[in-house]
Amino acid sequence: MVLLEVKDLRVSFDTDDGTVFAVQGVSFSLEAGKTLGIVGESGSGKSVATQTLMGLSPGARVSGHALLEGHDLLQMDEEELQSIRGAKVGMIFQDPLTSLHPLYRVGYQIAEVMVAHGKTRAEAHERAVELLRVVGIPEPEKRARGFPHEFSGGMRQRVMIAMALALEPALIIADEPTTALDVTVQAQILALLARMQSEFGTAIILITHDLGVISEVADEILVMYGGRVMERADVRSMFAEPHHPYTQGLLRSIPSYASRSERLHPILGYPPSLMRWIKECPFAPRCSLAHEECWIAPPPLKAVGKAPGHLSACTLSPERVGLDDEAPSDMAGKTA
Amino acid sequence: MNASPLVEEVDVGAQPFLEVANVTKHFPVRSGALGRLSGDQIRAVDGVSFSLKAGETLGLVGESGCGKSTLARLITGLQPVSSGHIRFKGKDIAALSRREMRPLRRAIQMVFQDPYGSLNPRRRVGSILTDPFAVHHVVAREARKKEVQALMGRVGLSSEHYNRFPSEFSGGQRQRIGIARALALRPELIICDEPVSALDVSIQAQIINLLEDLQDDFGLSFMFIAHDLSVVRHVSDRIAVMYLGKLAEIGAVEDVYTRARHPYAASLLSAVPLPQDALRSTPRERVILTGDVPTPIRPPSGCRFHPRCPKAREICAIEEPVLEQKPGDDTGHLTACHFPIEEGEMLARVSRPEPTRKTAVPLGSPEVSP
Repeated sequence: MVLLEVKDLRVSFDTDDGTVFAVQGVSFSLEAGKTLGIVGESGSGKSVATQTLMGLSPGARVSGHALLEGHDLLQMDEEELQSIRGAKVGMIFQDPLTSLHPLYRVGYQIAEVMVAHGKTRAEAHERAVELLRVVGIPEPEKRARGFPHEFSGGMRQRVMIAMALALEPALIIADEPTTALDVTVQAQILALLARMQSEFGTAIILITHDLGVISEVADEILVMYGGRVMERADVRSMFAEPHHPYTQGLLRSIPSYASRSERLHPILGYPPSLMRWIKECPFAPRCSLAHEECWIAPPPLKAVGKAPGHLSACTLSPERVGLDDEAPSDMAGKTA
Repeated sequence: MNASPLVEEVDVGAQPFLEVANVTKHFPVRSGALGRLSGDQIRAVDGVSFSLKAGETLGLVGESGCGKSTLARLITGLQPVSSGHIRFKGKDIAALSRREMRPLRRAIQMVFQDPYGSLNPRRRVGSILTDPFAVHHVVAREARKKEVQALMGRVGLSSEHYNRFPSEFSGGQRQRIGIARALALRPELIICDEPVSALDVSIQAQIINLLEDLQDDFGLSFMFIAHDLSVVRHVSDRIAVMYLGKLAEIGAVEDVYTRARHPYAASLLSAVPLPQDALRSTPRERVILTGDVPTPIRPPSGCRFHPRCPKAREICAIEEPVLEQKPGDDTGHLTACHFPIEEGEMLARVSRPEPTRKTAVPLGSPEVSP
């Protein structure tokens, strides 16, 4: 069942320096219980796109459609969005310290979400304690009376997850949920999200720059660059047969954990400025395979590869893009 | 030069390039509105010993709060040690006067994580990069601009950037400025504290390549601190794993990454999600540690890792293990553990088969049972 369908989402902001074209036509759909991973570097539009869905991009010019169970999020007024946030869609952000109120007790803040959606204070508190237990916080009754600063980074992120889960939303949007955490804590949090998903059947949109994290949790991956989708595929196809030169470049720039090659293969140059309307393929200036066609218009997503639903916004045929011997498919080796 | 290092030189033969011997750094804990000393101490670095050869890269890894950045600051001489010795080419850094320290400050430089925070936003890049020459009076005033421009060229900036402000640069370019500044005085050792963690993946690779090129060209030694363990593996010759102010394991990078003996080192290395895992038919063995790092104010007794360790036994809470070579390990591969992991042994593990990977993860239990 399709839970969320986003069609041709475009977001731009007017600033003193001119218009920022942050998202320039993004489409995807997400089924219940599945995880969509969105990868991209700074300025790729990955966070703006998802924040806009929740009405969290004040002052933005937005077009397109985002149907959550058939209702268009982009057409809703603030009141309608308010009833959706938390209840239908939970959000988890990178920095749990700035997302929690420093002066309210943690249990109170979790309960607040439920009180706003009609529960009594007592019921809500009881449920908050229960949620803290579910996300693996020891001594939840005691910890519910604690303040955010008394929690470690990993524990705060668990509180955020408890809050996001409070109303059992159908969808959780997690924006870099583990970026500020140590790898050991990151592993705990990713495992927790996965367990929550299997227990509650929640769909997850996970936004990250970390290809390792995305490979672990995502069912499908969207690669964004310069406000557009460059490639979309199931997780295996994306890593085994990446098509778009940008995706390939991204994979080749990671210091491979398994094979310690002598030199990394960075993508030369820097990402594009979004302060102008990009009429060409946004990756063309950094692409070694760029040719005349790439400079005329951004190529539309088209089917590539063997797997159904594997789409790439590159004009070259899969043979032309062909991987060289540094292909990431060689990376699967013995690890610690 | 005082006499003692000379004596040692004779004794030891070729002195190590950098030698860290039983170094500790304790910070007093202040509490209350008046900041009174509470009598407690944060044992940030608590008895660390290792050495570094010229031209070598030592990677230093561990969770936040394990003391790795404090150790870096001690080696650069930015903070004095509480006890122990740091000898750079035979000279004890702690025993030097301010004047004697000056040439050492040139020889040991640092590259920081945040290229935004470490550059003065009101000064032009050219002027920022001229500072090292002016402070140390090493290049004549007239020749400085040319020298700075050559330096900028060396790190991949163009000389037309000379008159720009830091805010006009992207993150990757700012880190190039940070590297140029560290490089200006021809140092011998550069301490890189999370040099690429603020950068995007595609830019990160550019900076790592640059650092490696510079190492080849100038014969630099690096101490490389990063939380990205794949990056550390790529750049390092040897790697040291730190936990709560102590070294848990140290050794050649491939030895530690493929045959970690300390349960903490093994767990830390296995916790990293790898893109290539998506292609594996059988899941990789992984250990998920529970709980958080304990406070360094009152570290656990015995082995500091024992409350989180799947292999811990009675003795681990009583007797602190010594950092030593274990039977079967290569020279220089040292582990501080009473029960090091044996060949083929699996720790209490959480495997993640594809279809069910979203279940069967024991969480919230206070400890992983072996």
